[in-house]
Amino acid sequence: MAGRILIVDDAPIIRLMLKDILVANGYEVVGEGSDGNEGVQKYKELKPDVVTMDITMPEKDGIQALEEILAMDEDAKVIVITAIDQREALMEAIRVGAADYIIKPFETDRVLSAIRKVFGEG
Amino acid sequence: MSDEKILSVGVGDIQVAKAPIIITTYLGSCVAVCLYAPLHKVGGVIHFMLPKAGPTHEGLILKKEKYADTGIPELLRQLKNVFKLEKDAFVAKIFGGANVVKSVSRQFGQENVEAAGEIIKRLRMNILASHTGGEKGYKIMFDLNTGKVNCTVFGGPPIEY
Amino acid sequence: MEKDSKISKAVELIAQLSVDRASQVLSKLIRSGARITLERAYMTDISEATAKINAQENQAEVIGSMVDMMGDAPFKFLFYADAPSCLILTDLILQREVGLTKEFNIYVRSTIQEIGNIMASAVCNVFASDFEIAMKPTPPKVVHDFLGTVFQEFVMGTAAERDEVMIIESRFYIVRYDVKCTIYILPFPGSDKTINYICNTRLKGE
Repeated sequence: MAGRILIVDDAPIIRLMLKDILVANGYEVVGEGSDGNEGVQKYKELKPDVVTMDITMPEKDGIQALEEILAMDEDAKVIVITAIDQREALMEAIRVGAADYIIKPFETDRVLSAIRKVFGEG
Repeated sequence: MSDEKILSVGVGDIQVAKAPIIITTYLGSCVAVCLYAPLHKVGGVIHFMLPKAGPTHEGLILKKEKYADTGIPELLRQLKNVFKLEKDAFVAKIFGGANVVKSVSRQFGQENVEAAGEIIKRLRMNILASHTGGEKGYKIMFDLNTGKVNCTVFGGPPIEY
Repeated sequence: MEKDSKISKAVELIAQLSVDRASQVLSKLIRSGARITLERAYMTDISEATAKINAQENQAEVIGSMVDMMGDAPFKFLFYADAPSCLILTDLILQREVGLTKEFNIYVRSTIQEIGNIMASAVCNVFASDFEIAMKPTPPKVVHDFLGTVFQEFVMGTAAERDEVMIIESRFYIVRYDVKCTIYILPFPGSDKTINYICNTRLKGE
């Protein structure tokens, strides 16, 4: 049974692209957030199985949002999606507790393999 | 219009000319003050970006045309220099000062509009027309043959002032 | 090599690497080749540069994405395309038939927003990988307006600090769809130290 996913990104086009990929592959997109604050709020309300989280966002960035979500729920599964392809930044995301990261611009296969890995699917 | 030469004004810039020239510029948070001497068909435009002159963070002094308080008097000085006319010969029109990039915390557009108004008033000059504010850019074309300013706010129709 | 000439070389190097990387990510994002048709770095008086842009008659309506690249070498980044090109870019990003997007809706704006974000991030990544200078982008600001208005809002912060600036300009052409887009990269005052650092490390032997 495919899982419930919350998409957090300040760009509506990215949210649409991710939603198209996920829904086409049997996942349920339970909500969307356009900044870190909304991401944290929607996580609290919706309790998704997985979150995809942009890093560079207004109001609150993805790393702060990730920290707050993990403080609420240490088992939260958050995949960071970012255009910042810099070792230190990505290692920081993993250190804070991201389950995985995807670099923009992303391919469908990469998104699906990250989602499946987090769900423990083959 | 096809016989007139078009002079473009950039940010922190002044252009003075006589008919049949058209002076043009585009504005965002910057303000353009257009001065016109109707009896002589001469005029000028200053396109300034900040209300008040002062040194930069690195202590540099930049060109006076960038600021309302130094730039508007400089426009008058250039008009006097070139055309031998005092400020009483001119009327003013003011345009621009929009808040185009909404996330910027300081409202430079509004400050620029207020500064332009105060300085023109302090110089005891007439403001014949103005169109300022909003959230979209301005295109202005100042026809020195007629003194009219054709002003288009982005997304809207051209209006003559 | 004279100091000024070394600084020009450093900026040219930044320009070349940044534009190459930006072009690669743009091509990957839209799944179509984006050819670099112009790439130059030059000193210019801001008044003259903006006057030149303002002199273009019947000026295009553009959508621009402005990003501040923050770190030890602060730069400002602008990506823009004219209105019809923005509609095409939206269809390309969504992998839809070109011509389907007809309205300037939130998806068109956020297409330009995200292209700006991804290309600016690519330039930040160049600083990190090639010059070991950590840089990160801020969330983009999107403006849909006259080209002259967009450009002057872009240069405003730098114009408040300098009369003359070094600017990197590049144009891309997506041949298959006749789409032209432009980027500007503007070193913000404060990045001089970093440009000198690049001079002294990467151009040591010259």
